[in-house]
Amino acid sequence: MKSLSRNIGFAAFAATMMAAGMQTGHAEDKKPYTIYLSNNFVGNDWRQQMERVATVSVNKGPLKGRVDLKIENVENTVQAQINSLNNIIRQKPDAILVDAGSDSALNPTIKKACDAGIVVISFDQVVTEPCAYAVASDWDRIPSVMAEWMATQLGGKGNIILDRGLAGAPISAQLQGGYEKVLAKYPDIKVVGYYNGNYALGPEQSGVAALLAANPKIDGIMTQGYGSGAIQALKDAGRPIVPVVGFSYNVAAVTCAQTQGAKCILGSNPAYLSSEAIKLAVDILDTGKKPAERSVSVKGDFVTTDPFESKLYPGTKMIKIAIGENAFPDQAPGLTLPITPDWVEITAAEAAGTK
Amino acid sequence: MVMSVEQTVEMAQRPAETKPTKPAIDWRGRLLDRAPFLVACLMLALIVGIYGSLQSGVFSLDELNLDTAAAMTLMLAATGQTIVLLRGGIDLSIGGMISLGTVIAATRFTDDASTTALWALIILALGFLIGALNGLLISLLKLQPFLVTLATWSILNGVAMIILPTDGGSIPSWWVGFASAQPLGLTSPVWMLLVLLLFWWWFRATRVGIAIQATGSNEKSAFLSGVSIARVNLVTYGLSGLFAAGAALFLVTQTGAGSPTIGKDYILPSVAAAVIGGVSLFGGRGHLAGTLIGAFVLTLIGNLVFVLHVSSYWQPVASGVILLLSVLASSVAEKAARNRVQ
Repeated sequence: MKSLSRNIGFAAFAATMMAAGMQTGHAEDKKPYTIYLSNNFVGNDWRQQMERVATVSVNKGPLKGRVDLKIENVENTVQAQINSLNNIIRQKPDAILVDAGSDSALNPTIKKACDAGIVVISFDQVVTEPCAYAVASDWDRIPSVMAEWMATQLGGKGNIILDRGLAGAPISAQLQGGYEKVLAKYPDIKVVGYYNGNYALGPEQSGVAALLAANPKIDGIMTQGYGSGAIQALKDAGRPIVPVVGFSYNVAAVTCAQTQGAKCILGSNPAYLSSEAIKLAVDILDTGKKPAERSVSVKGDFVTTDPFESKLYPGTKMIKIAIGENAFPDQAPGLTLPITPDWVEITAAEAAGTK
Repeated sequence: MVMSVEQTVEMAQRPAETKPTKPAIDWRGRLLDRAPFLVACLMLALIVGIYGSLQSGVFSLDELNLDTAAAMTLMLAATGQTIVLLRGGIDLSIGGMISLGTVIAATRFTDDASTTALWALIILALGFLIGALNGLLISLLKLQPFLVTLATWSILNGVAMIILPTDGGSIPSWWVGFASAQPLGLTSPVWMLLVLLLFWWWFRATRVGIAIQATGSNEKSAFLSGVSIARVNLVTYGLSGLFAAGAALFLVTQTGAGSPTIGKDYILPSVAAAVIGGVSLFGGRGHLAGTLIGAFVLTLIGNLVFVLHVSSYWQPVASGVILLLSVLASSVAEKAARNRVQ
């Protein structure tokens, strides 16, 4: 498996290099596209990685020299993003990428951009305006595959505890619902406790610790957060390390890889959604052809200690956790994995901004 | 500048036959009085100057139309806030009222014009009533405006969340189109700006306008000269609520949707716009024209940061520096005014 994925990686890399070689001649006779990235918020690791990855992906690989990328951050208010977008529209760029502060309140402004002939692609936090494309992770697939993996690990039988995420957050309800929908197919798997992990290590660890104390037999933990907090709680309580579901932060992958006997699957909302949005914009501008659907789902590979074949989503890609290859003890804990889409080679150091 | 209450009272008490001889015009005093407003004008001129030298087409009608639309929500919110500041109070509840206004609009407005017009009137009436309630609570319970309006802000916010938990709903396209409509060559936001100035020109000379400023200047002497403080509070906060509701109705032309959280983004900027425009936080001193210039200043800083290609983090830094300069100018003017009275 490992050598296979390596070979695929190499093939992809070679193809990329060839594509890059072919593009150089092509790019010279074309003016680079001016593309703006409007981001409503920069206060977390993911958004910063998203912006770094966007910059790297137009400075190497097939898009090198093809895009003049300008990033505009705003201070997390809808009015500021509207005003910023209006400023951007007046520059008459070829495309605008939007990580939106509101799924609907930017719509009239985005419509204005479309009407001005600008390609608009919303990504990550997408908008409902039909003229804009929506590039996002498939949030139905992620919890389903992870719950299926857990059921496989447990052989369809056992006690688990489940993270409700952040009270009131739509994504939390969606993930919890996704987990429970699949688990409901396994009558012998019982959810014996819930906690709110709040997408932070502290609440995850204390939430799991409290439930461990109350339940002598826990066979699996479904987090919506890091997973590494749950593993730490198991270690602290002197309990066996049971299978854990979480999201693909570097710290989670490193903890899984370095903990004896740990079994994990980590779902990914890759920070390279920005790169995918740029690529989509360039494809549309190059060919003049528009995708059939305005929603484009990005399928970030799962990162896991124990890859399996999903029956719910056949062909789902799994990356086996390997220190140095896809888990980086020397990089920031909040780095989101996988680092790079397959059409360009972005390194961990580039994504983390340490290089 | 309106006469202070001491002066009004003093003049009223003076026997009619001994009309004072025309005093020599105190040019220095007048200049100092207007210093905060002049500083605001200077800052706006400076910002427009730099912006115009970096971006083509700044000195055009298009630019005026665009920037006025960008600033109008803040201008409406800040108009209400200016009235409250002149009274010597503060209104945090406008944040809740703006959110509530947008969610009611986004859930109730339809393609049918008469239904939508009715709901728009209901939103405006609600704004006035809730504001008036603020004023009533402040008078009856003798509470700090800050605390009362903090509480109503929270309540209105909650109600907005109950009506529409996340951004959404819809605003009919003809309502959204209002902001870009161009009756007689100017967009509706520019007309609104002119209407606001006209309103102010009329309002500040009305009995209630004078009473609000007199109360803000010196509550005790206003009371002694027969002003009903309770009524002043009622009207002051009522108008603030009304303008916040108006801000919500305009805001949805920009967003095309309701948002239960959007109002909070206008609370402190509304105070900042007024202060930058030379309105005193201690009441009684200031003019809406200054506030509107302040709102332009705050909005154009964003444009300037954009064309300068610097990090957007410079926007709050620049806003803060400008606010400090304004406060400094105000305090100089305030001191000068006090010296002259003594």
